[in-house]
Amino acid sequence: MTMTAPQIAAQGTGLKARPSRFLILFQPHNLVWTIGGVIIIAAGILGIVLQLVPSWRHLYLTQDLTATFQAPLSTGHVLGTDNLGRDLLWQLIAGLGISLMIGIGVTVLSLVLGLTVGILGAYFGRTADAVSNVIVDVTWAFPAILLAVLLAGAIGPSVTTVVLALALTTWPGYARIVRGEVLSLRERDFVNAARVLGVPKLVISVRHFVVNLMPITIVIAVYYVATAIIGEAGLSFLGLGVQAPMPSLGLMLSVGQQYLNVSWWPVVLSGALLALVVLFLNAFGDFLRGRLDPHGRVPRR
Amino acid sequence: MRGPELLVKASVSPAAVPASRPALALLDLSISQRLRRTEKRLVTHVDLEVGQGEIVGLVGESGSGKSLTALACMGLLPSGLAVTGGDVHLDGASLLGLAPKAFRALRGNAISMIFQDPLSSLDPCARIGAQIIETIRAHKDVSASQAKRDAIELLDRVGIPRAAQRMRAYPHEFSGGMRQRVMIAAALVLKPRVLLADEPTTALDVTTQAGIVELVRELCRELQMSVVWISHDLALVSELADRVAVMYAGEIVEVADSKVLFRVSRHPYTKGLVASGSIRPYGERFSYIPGSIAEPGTWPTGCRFAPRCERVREECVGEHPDFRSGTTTVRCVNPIEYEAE
Repeated sequence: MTMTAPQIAAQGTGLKARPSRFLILFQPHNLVWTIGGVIIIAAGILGIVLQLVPSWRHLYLTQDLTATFQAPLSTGHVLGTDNLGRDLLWQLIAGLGISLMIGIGVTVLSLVLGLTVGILGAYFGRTADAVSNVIVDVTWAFPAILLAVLLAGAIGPSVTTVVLALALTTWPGYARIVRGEVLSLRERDFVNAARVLGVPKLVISVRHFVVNLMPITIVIAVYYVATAIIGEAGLSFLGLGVQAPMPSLGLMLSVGQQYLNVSWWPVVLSGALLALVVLFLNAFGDFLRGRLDPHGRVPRR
Repeated sequence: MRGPELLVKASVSPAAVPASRPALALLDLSISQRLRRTEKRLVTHVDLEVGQGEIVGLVGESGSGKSLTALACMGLLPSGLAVTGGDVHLDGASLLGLAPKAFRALRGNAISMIFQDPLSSLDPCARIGAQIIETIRAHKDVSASQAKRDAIELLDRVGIPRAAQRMRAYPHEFSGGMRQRVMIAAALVLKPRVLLADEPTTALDVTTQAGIVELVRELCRELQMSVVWISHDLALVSELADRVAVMYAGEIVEVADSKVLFRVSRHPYTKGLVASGSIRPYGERFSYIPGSIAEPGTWPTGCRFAPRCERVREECVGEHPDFRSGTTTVRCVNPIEYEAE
């Protein structure tokens, strides 16, 4: 029997071949997350597409007042209908799309703000540090709901209100983490080496700090999407966020609980989806943290 | 406080100074740590001139102020430390008076530096090609593709095989010697006039060391570049440098031609250093200098080496010694004398 070189090499070493990055997803203990993730991501993408293609909006917007509060699997609606006879499955998918868009928007805004202010504070002199610290402290002390109420009063409740209110209260935490990390990064030899070679501060910030912050940032971003989705649901539930007829998980909870004695499924389904998405995102964040951080260092949440 | 040290500059022997205008000149350079009320002196009155194309070794124990001196030349002293006296001249022009922006333009361009540990000197998250291109583009307004061509050429020049492919490698994929070659390539991007090498081979194994030393010597000749080679490895410095300056407790105690210094070391400290470094016959014990280097702030008012010196005399303790001339320039009231050969 002939063997290929790798087979020979593997023989007798007693080492198990390391599974490839992709195959890890299909190991039994990861499978449940993989399947859940694929479903949630697919639904989320579909939901986002629904928002972007106007001609598809009828799928979740069409009302049928003759068929309200249909139970799941009854008439042609897999998950039944709501108080206006709209299809619940499509409502959930579209709502998830909106929630994800808001979550991603909040996260991107927070990361950009946090990176900028954090690096400015840690690397651009004492004055910049003092100023940015004050800004971070003051912003951090501001509750999201109060800000949302103010914004809703000023510009009216909308998706923009939600994104702004959440982003403006989320970024200070990340700015703190960035500042701390950069304070340690800037003392590293490769930063000194770049400085003695005359590389400008701005280039060092972008090419060395931002890149070296990526592992932490990616993990934090996933948590931020999860918390932003909960925040969005909360604000929309209070009527400060997404307005009907635009669907959102928080809005469905809010409307559904008014009819809880007639039909429980809109509330339970939207609540369950919210919980599952957040659970999945948190587990995914943990998974990433394990994969991305070779030192097992736990980033502060 | 300063008293006798002020005389040092005037008493430097002309024999130890190169004839042409120096590429780099440290003039009476002092560095201190600013404390609440006082200053802690770390480096005092360092005078050193490095001629064009000359390699000068800067030797001394850890904590003698070698690296601080180099960082001061780059204008990159750690926060809390400051140059409290003297100046650094590059080609006759003062460096320390420069605005931060003007200084940055010179770094990597006219004066460059490489560090001890090439692994930590390279960003682990960036490809080595990107790190060299970054330096090129920080100084020259060239297109990305031109910068890339330049970078490949440089890597090729410092002896990285298959340079074009290796541009996309990350630092961890390189061996220590290769990494130091990359650092040298980055430092030499703009053919600087002066290269400060802060123990560049300490983290490397001996065979790799030889390769790096040879490379620096070649490049120095090729580019007419001046090199300050900081090290505590006397054997290596004697091999590489034209002249050697020995530092002890924040000051230069002896400057001499490298061929002379190791045969006829006049300062007792230099002699101790040379003796502790040389290879002994089998069975003979290592020689070493008893005691340890005086911490800054606890320096004696007299000769700073006096507490450890076996030739110590009464006058060593009272007054701080000036430089004395002879075959070498030495800061000692009782230097070792040699019979004329």
